[in-house]
Amino acid sequence: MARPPVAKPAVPPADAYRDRLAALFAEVAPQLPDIDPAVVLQVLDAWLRPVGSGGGRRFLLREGPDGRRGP
Amino acid sequence: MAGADRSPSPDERWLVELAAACQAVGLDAVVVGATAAVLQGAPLMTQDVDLLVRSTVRNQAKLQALARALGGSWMRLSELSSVQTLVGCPLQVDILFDALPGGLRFELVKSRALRLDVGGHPLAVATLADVIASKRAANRPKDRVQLPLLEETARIVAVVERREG
Repeated sequence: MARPPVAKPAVPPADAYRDRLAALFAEVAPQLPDIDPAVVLQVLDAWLRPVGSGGGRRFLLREGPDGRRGP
Repeated sequence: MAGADRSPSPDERWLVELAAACQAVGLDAVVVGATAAVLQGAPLMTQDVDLLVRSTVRNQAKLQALARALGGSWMRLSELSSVQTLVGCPLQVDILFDALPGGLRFELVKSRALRLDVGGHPLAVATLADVIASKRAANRPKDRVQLPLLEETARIVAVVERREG
């Protein structure tokens, strides 16, 4: 009996986002060689999913029960 | 895009609530300080949201309405400062009146501000250049710590904006 065709898995949206971020990073980072690539990546990530767009970013520190501040 | 499909964080929900309340009471305010930088991509954490407004009788009434809308109340932390702090809310909001350090007056900051959509509500946000200028002028220890990262963010954003045309 012939095996049913294997459905090609859809590309998860997360990969599409990663690919877009990677392409932007590959273009921008070489233009700013004196900046830590990790910072470039963070800023580009924030650029693509800014606060207020539902991107899930946290940026406010809260005081915990021990008095220390954290996200 | 997956990155934009996540659930909003508590911080985003709070910012949307603040933007909605400002719009509802008709408060003409500009987000300044570290939160303004965060809204433009700066990878920073901050303790509060700073708003710059004009010091007018009408705005004082609107600030009272804003506090009621957010379930907090205003207090002044020092007789030496006009800054008002909203307390009793999940997170702190500071109101600065008329100008930022460095002589950056409300009208100037607002004229250059970005108009962002935050959860469907308009929010005026000071440019990175104005945030950097005000922090350089304020020159507090926390400002000096943040400045290098803010300057790098401004350079990165400039490259992206040139690319976007």
